[in-house]
Amino acid sequence: MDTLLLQIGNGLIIGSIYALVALGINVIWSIADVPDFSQGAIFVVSAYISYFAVTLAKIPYVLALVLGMCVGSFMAFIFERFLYRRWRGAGRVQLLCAIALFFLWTNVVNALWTAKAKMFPAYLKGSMFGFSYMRIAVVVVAAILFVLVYLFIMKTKIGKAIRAASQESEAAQVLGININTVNSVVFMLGGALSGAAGVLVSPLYAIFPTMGDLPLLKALVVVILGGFGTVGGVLICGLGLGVLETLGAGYLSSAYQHGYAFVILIIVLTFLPKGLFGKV
Amino acid sequence: MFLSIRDLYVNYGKFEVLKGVSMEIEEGKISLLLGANGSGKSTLLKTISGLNRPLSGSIWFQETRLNGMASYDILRLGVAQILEGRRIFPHMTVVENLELGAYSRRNKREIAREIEAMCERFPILGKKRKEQSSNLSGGEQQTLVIALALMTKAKLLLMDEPSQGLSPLLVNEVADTITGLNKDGLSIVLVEHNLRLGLSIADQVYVLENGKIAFDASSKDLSGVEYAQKIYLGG
Repeated sequence: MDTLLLQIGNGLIIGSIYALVALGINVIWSIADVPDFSQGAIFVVSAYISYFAVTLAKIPYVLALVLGMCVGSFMAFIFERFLYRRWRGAGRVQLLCAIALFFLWTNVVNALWTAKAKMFPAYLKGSMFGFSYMRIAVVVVAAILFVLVYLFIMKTKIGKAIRAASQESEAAQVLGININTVNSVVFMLGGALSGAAGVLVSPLYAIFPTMGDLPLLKALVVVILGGFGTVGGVLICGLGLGVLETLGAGYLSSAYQHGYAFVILIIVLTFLPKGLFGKV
Repeated sequence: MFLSIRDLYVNYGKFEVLKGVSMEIEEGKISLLLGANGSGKSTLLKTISGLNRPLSGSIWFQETRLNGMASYDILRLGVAQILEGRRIFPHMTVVENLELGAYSRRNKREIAREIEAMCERFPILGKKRKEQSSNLSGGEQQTLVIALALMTKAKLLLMDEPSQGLSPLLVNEVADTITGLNKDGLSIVLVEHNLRLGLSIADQVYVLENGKIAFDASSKDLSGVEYAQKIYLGG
């Protein structure tokens, strides 16, 4: 029983990371109509920048987290402003740009800081119920970020514009909503979430140039499973996927740990082509 | 001139939709734009409101050239559009929709007062103010769309098929609403497939054929609905 609870707990921790990256991708995809694979690269770059900030500049971890979010936000803003916006309406070109950005930045990181894994220093010591405080912090911070994103979208003026643009883009424009501003904000939001995910996961594992590959792929699965435009759907699917994957690794075979997500995806889409909570 | 369009060309990719449209819209009038499907009526309205970019030509609104301006800047000048197909925000309440109509303004008290006024003017909206707008009937949604446009405080309202999909009874209500708005000083450019409705309320009629204005006349000059129908259907 203890092992089962530990597995579920670990699943929730990794699921929180999937959910964070997926939320950013989901918001960007459903509003700007860009499948932004570059979020995987933002995840990696933010982790590295925060690592150097903590190890070289000796800044506290909380500030490193904020720094990682700012880096992610800035990168996403630049990508949108100077690349995706240029190709608005040309979906295939935007998709190619997104894939190119992902590989380009992974290679840049590799060239700058080598493929050798780096270990993020522990910022919290001790544990509770068999989980280290650092692992618990991942779930807590992810939960706080989800609530903040929800409040931002539901309660602020720009959040309302984002919702309007996602429901009826042209109608929103003729009512005075600047779609360029909406897209910039949405990309910055997505970048901040991916950046946070990268910094949160770093102290639990190692930092290396391809560390964004699997979270990106799993986040895409979560987006498709959860359905576009659903914050709750992303949260449930992210956590659920993390738990199922961990249980599969623990009780079936760890050799297929990263394949379970795609088996689940195929099964769900066979019976529910629109995903669990929204539309594909 | 209130709204002046000169030699306007608009393409969708390589397909020419508007091929040199020129027209003058007078202030305080209801101007009806007729034409067969695909003649470019909706494209013309979207180009005026900044959703489409013209290839060449010019659009002037009260001495300001609209070409190249973004929709939000055009709205600030006083040009609002009601898009075809009752384009409300379905997952928002009636009040949230109305608030979006005042998006470009900041005075919250004034906006709240205007929403109350709008709910008094259209009692059905007041009654259903907290309901999701997707739950409204077709007629109620059309009323909401008109109220949304009024919240923008426009001087010129571009209306694309406001009676589309409505029952005859509701069509009459929409006609009364449009006439009322016009009497209150709002200038209107109306695209309407319902000829009887359009001709009964319009001051000026323009017929768009093959991407050009084929002719324009006062609605009283037209010798009845049958004649207009012949032109309208391209016969």
